[in-house]
Amino acid sequence: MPTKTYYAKLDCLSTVATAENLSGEYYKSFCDFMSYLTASNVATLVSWNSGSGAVSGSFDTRTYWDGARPFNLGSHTLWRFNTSSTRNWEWYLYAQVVSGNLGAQRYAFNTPISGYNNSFDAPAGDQTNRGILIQAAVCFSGSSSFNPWNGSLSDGSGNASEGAGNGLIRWVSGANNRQLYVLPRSNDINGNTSTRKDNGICFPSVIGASTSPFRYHFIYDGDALFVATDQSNNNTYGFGYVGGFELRNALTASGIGESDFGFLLYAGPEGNAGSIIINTSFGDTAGTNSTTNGGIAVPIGNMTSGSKTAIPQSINNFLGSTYQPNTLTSTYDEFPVYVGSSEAGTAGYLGNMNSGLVRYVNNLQSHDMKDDFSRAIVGGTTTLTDNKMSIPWTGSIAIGVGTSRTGSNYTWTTNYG
Amino acid sequence: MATKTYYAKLNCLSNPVNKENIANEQYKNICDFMSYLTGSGVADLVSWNSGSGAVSGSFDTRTYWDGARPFGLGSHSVWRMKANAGRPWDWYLYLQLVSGSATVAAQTFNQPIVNYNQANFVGSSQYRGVLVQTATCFSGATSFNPWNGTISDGNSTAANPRWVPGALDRTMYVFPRSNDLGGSHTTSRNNSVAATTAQISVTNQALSHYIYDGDSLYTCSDWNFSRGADMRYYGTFDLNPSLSGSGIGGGTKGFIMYTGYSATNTFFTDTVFGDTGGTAFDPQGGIGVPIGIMVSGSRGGILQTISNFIGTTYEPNQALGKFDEFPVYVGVSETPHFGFLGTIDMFRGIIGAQTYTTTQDLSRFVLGGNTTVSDRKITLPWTGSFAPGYVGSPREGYTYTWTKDYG
Repeated sequence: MPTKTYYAKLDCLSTVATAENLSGEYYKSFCDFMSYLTASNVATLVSWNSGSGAVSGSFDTRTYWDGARPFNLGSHTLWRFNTSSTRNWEWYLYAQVVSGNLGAQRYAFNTPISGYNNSFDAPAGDQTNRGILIQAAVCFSGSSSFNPWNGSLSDGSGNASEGAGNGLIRWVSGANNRQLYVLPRSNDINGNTSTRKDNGICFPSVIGASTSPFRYHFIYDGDALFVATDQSNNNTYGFGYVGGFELRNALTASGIGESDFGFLLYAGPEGNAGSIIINTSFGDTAGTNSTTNGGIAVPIGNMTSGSKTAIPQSINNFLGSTYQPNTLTSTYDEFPVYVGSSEAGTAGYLGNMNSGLVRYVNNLQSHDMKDDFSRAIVGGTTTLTDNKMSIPWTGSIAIGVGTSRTGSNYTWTTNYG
Repeated sequence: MATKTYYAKLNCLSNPVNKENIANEQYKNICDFMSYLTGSGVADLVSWNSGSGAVSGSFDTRTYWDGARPFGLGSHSVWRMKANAGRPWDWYLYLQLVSGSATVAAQTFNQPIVNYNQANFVGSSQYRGVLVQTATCFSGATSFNPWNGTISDGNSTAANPRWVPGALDRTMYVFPRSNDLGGSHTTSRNNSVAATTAQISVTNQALSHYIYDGDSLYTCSDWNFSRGADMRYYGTFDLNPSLSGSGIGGGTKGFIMYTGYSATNTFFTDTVFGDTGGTAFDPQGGIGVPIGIMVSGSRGGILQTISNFIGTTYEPNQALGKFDEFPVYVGVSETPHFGFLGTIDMFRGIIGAQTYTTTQDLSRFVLGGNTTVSDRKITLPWTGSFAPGYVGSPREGYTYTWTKDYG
């Protein structure tokens, strides 16, 4: 595994007791993290909208909900993740803070994913719910990549979300010889929203009316973004992964832009036993699955036609309480999160989530850490024998002790082996 | 994966319609292959015995059963698999041609494995076969010959115990695992496993292959032309990168023996190989790595694969339009020690492909426990110049050497 630079905003804790303010804080913290990436030259703000009824002002002057210039409902941002030394293609992330209200703010996103997180019955149609919806897209031809956003490019003052209004396609390739992938998978060929490419998913889950306090972490490894959110601050997390994933050795240079990376989106709410659930598909064509969603894209074979439903796997029972900890080495093994397509016609193993960014562990507790604070454990549950995720950590603070909604920003460079 | 030189004796077809002669031909073939390795500079003959009633003569003049100087029952040979640049330690292979008789031939080997092939191999003269042990002995980066028998050209005998470390500060592993600490045969270190499936019926035939990659020896025998082969793997596995430098001799490899026949999935996953009693048949063997408690001796091993990607839903890989070959992972699995340790280099898991299917360039071939396409099989290196199978193969097969990086 290569040495990488990691960027993180860790241990943000929101303690406001309304869904509106929680989602507002979460969105503000996310935007602050993206601004941190922008200042670090690994991302760029392409376009944004301050939201319904927001006080005017530049992006950098935006405040939390209790300040002078908060983002309001419907606010959205479009970010470009710049190319890196190993990834010669850009990818784009659209994020929007929404309510379940069917009025203007919600309408701005057209058709968010429905049925997301069963217990809340989706943002759509229930205005007590809040969330951050996202889409991710990439557009390329050979080794060149392009911005596929079809809305206006506006700096906060205009309605950039819809371009020329409702009914237009949100993402376009712009030329016949370009390849476009829009995740979640329902936005691509044979998906329910393939025409307008307007489906989004919660990143990673709906914020209900009484979910406070709320702890969350953002980590970017230069190629992919990983998000962990604990909606009740009880050590149970939902997870989001979006960006490049490492192709298996046999597919080197067969990835997007003829690189070694494919494109992946995963999102699942907290409470999933096994965290990123092994052998459970994510990215349904209808775009309504609430337990796991997202999809996978690689320009190989039939997958050149669009993104596909994906599935994670791991090594069989070595990832289990019988073999963890490894009693020979007296340490816990970390295993790759293997991913492939699980959609008929393209089903097969393709690679793994970036190996330094996220790994499977077992028989560890959420918020356990390596003794040098270089990695932290986050789980969908607190059941010891459920699989959990090992993620990079800064090396200087413990997880779960932060008390600020702003969290703390860190950048470090390491090789996680 | 590194570029390696492969040595093979392929497509050896024994069809003498006599269990004694089939076993004899298999022993002759593996000895010939070992001589081929010796001639290639990667192995040495340490000691040997021509067997009961054999006509005298050098090792190189030994013939098949129908020649002038066949190996007799009880014949055995000790081989050193020489260290190389990537493996700074020798390991040893003991082979013996036996019958199930409790008299001279079997007794020479002391106590062969019991309960072999669902019956008692010891004491039943209707059985024939080739038995095997493997061993290694080392201290730091230096390895030693642990064979405790006589070093003789034609008259080697075993001692009791059969293998000894020779000094207090050396670590020794003897496979099958039952010969090491906590095993039923740790005193005499005389338990073994079958290097080929026991020959029982007078009508059995066998198609055998032998492949050595410079570190590990793979042998198999399709013993009744069913296209369902047993598998035997002796030698090394690659340790996890995190354990690099913790292997035998301070290197990157551990020691492994895996033997078994799985009619359904070719090799067993999630099933311990190398029981302390030394009585299990499928699978058998063990693993040894000088880490933690395993410095005291070998332990039971276990194989795993990537979860459901190696299944008919995902194979052939529809995104790629071809079959995947999956790593076979190795770990220790003996109370109270359990853990993932590394990966086997030479063979890989596959599903959805038929036995004896090859890659288009004939560089790898598929071997299975049966011919059911949806059952798991393995892929192995192949020479690149002819197809595996039954047609036109002599009992001595064909020998090849080639160099390749299998990626």
